[in-house]
Amino acid sequence: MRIRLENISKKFDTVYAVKNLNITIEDGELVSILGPSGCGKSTTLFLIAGLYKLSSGDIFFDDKKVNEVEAEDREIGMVFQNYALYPHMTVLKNIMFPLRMKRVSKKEAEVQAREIAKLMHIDNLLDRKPAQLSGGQQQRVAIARALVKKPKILLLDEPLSNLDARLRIELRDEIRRIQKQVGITTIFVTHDQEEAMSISDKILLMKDGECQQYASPKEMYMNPANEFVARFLGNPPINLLSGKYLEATNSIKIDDTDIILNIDEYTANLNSRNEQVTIGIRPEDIYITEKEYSFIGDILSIQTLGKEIYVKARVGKWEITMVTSWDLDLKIGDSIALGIKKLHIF
Amino acid sequence: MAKRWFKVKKTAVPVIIKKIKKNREIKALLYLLPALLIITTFQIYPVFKSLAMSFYTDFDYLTGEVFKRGLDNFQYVLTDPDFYLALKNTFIFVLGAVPLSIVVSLGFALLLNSNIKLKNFFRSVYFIPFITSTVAVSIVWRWMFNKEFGIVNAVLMMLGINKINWLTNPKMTIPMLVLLSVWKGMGYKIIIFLAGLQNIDEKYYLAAKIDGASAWKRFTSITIPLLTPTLFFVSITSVISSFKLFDEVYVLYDKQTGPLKSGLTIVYYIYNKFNRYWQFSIASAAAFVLFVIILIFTLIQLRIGQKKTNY
Repeated sequence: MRIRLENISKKFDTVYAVKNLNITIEDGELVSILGPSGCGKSTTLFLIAGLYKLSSGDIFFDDKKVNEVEAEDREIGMVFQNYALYPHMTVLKNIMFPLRMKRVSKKEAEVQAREIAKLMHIDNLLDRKPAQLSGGQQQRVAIARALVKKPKILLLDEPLSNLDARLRIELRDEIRRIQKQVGITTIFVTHDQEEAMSISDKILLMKDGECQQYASPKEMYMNPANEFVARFLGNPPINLLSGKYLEATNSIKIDDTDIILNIDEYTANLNSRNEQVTIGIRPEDIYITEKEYSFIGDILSIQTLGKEIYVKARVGKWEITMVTSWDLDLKIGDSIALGIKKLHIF
Repeated sequence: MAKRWFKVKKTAVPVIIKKIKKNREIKALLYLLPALLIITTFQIYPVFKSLAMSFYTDFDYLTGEVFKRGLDNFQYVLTDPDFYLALKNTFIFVLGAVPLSIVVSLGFALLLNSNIKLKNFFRSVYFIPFITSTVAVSIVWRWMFNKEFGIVNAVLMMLGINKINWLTNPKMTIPMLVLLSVWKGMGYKIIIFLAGLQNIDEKYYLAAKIDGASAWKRFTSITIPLLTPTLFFVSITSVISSFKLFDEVYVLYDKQTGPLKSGLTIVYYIYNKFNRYWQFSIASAAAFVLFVIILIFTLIQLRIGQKKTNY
């Protein structure tokens, strides 16, 4: 089902938790809502679920306006952050519950519950109570319960935040697998950029209740719409320098240095034509070179991470982080010439 | 030698104090002792004494001399039609008062737990009957329900309904007592239920909503099962206190057992045997029978409770 949010806002007392949000989620897409805590991402999800009432704006499922439709009638499945499995019911009863609410016969409900349990690899846990399950198992049960009634939309509210790192990656891939298999429109709330990047068709990045950018992970990473987006995505984080735009030569002079970067010589993502600009350079877009270089830096620290190393270098008053490979023999204090592949200008 | 003996003696006392200080159990016992003494003297001893007394068939009350023991008292109680009348009245009362008070209190607790205005005001209002003395309440009720001068009949008259002899009609006795006890116990039960309701995490209701459960289904599938520990606590305590019904009858019916003994309860029977007829050992035997009845009911409820709340 296609979801369309038209100018939706949610106000708690005097504070806007969500402000003028406009997005469309296509049928079968997996969209992540990403942002720091308190940015309104869970509120947005709860608005779509119908657990919160809109302050203004409209929500459409396909072409039907659902503002006044109660949560229980919206045909959605939802997984809560702490799963909210019914503690007094066995796993089987938990999964059967949404079907029983739809007046599916007990027999039929059990057949369908067992089927979905198999898909989630929890068919051996059906007689247990939630308290006897591990976090990962509870998570699978919660997803099974959300999917069993074959909803039109699946909403996941930080579903992986209570799990350890390994399990997170495993379940992340599992969610993606099942989402593709079932073909259900899915919205996934997370504060973890890596999680969002790895499973989404599109990411909605929010800050203070407002949309910062709504694009595919690649587009968002390659062409961030503003400084916040650039800073939020990527690890190690993007290098940000301030500078002045010189219109005459179409170049940028980086503050407190003699470095002038001629924009025409680089691939540039130009978002601003103000005089005072911020220049963003991704750590992986900086390379060590012996030929034409953009600037020279002194190595401050080297951090080895296995497949790659992070090098921090001083350029004037700026500290610049770059990602490079093992094969170079680098030492702290070395002066290195650096080239740039791509610039982001805000 | 003398000096050394003195020395030992002197250090012995602090050593004991130190030991007591170190031993947490002895320390705890010292704190508990005063209350324990009072409870033992005025509660535990009388319980066993009255149990023993129920077997006295011939004794001197003043000297405490016992000449003969036997089961005669139990035989008397268990063949006394008055006792069976008391038993019947009490059972009807329990059957009426316990479920009704639970339903009514739970209903009000649910209302108070939803987001209504003046929540604290209502909670206090409902709690007032509980902290008011039964005697005062009963006297006011007697006056309100008076056939000729009471406000209840006055209101009924205004509505064009004939006067009802609330307090002199034997058929009205148990309903009146049920009404009084439901009203009086409501505040306490509401507080307990509210605590239980607030212990249920909001997330279960949200999940149930998403799962398509209507308000009624959410109540029966989430609220009730998750409230069972509270429900059992309230039902056990109210069964016990309902079996002990006495004050309300005593005051509402002016130290009588109501019209045609329609308000004769087990405790009232015990009271009559003890205070009015001075049949101490028969009163003790009846009290012991009541104890056994309450024990059986409590055990049954505990057993059901354990089966129902295993999560």
